[in-house]
Amino acid sequence: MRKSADYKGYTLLEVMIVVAILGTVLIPISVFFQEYITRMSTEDLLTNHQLARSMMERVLASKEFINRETTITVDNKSFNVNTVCVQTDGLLLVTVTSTRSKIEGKLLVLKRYVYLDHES
Amino acid sequence: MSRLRLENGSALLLVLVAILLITSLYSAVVLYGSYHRRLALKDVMDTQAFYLAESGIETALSRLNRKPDYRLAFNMDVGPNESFKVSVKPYGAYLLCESIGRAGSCDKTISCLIGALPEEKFKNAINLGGQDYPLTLAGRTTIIGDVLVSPSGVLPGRFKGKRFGGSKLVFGEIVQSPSDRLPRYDDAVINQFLTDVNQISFNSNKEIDKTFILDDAAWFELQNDSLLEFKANLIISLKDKTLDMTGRHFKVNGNLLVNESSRIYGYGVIEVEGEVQLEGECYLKDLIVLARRDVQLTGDAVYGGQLIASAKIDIAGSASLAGNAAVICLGEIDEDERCVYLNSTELSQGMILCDLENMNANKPGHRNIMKTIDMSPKCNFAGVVFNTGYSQIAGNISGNLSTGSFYIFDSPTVFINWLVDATVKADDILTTVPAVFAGGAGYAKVGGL
Repeated sequence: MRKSADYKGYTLLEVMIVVAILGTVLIPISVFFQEYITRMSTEDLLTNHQLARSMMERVLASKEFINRETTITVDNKSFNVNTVCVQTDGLLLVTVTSTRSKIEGKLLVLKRYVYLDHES
Repeated sequence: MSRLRLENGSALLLVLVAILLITSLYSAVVLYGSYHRRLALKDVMDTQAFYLAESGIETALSRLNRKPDYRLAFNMDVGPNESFKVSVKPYGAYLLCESIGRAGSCDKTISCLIGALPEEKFKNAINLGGQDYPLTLAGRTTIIGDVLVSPSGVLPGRFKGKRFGGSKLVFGEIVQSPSDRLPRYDDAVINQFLTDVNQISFNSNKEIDKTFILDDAAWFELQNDSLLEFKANLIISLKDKTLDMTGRHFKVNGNLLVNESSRIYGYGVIEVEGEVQLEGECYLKDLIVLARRDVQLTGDAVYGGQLIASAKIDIAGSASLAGNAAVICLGEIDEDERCVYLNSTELSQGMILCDLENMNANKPGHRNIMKTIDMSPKCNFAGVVFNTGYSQIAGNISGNLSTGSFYIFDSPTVFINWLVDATVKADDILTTVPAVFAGGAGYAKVGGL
């Protein structure tokens, strides 16, 4: 009973000082880590976008509408770019997907319908 | 002690400021990172929306080639929050295709001209203007709907004279056509009528070698003969009686005159080497008249059959073409410089074909081919006109008109594409005739079809 009366605990000021010190140390670390993750993710997204787009343009220009799977290395990172062509209702649906290899990344998908006979 | 008292609470303030600064820094960095990511995502969406818009054009091409429908509109969902919306409409000799691709919150629009020439899908089309001269709207000219004209364009209200003054009304948009030439119509339209004629069979023959008056009594005598050849003229004067020409064939080497309120109906044929004149209150229905020379309808004559003339056709006075009358003029131009003259004509769903190339423009006295089709201001026409030559238009036209150019009333030496005191309205007109186009002209599309 006496002991608990002597034990006053931490004042609000003390707690806030601790929070401020922890924040000063931990938050920059957290921010740096978060920024790193976001930047990597955005970079992957941009690379996926570029790869998928260039593959789509290449397929449309060459008119080689075949299913293919390609691995492309950019800045020591490898990406899987897949092309799937499906004939549907007189049109060809070209789907190009791109994702970072070996990493559970988000799949980027581009779709484009092609009418094959319009030049004839 | 008093100094410490003065500093009471300052630590709390400092800590609060420090926390605020740290939080702001954190927020700024996080927002900065997410902003870049949002930009990258938007870039991806833009690309996908563009591909979807292109997909819309390709899909429209596919559908048009499978089933030509030159007023096409459709939507297509490709995936979650991914779709395209396409609309196709005639634009000159082309089709204007607009495709909107949508991916997430991004829209991309692509417009393109598809080079499809109009075949037989353009209904209620009106040719306005020719190759070399702009169309001029004058007088009480009223055009209802959007209009596309030939490359030479439109000159509204150029003349302010006594005759041509007044208001010009165009309820719609006038757009210059990018087309420089359109295909001519096919002879199949004309041949169809000739095929119809040939399908009628005849089983007897009788020749009459003098001018014959076919009256009630005579008809009673001749009614069992299907093929009658009149070496001279034939006058049909039935006086309110009715002659059934179904399955009958008359050949008249001279002229044919139908008068005295004669009524003739049925799918028969009268071939006439001379001139044809229908006068009085005579009424002809379903009959096919093949005329080698001029045809004239006067008085209150009403013609509702198929009239194929190798010379000019003159429909004057209160005479009229009616119902499903069809007039095909293959003849030469006469000294009046006109092939088909429609005066006070009321034609509801008929058709006039006029092919200038079959006319001898170099024949002496026939050089000034001005008015292949000449419609007076009293003419009210709701049918179909195909004319490879020039048309003088002054009446009301609410059907299809395809013509090389227009013609001004009082200046026969000057070719200007004029539309004078005319009302052009193409709404609610149905035609079963292929709407193919005369050569040398742009064409006009009337909106709301």
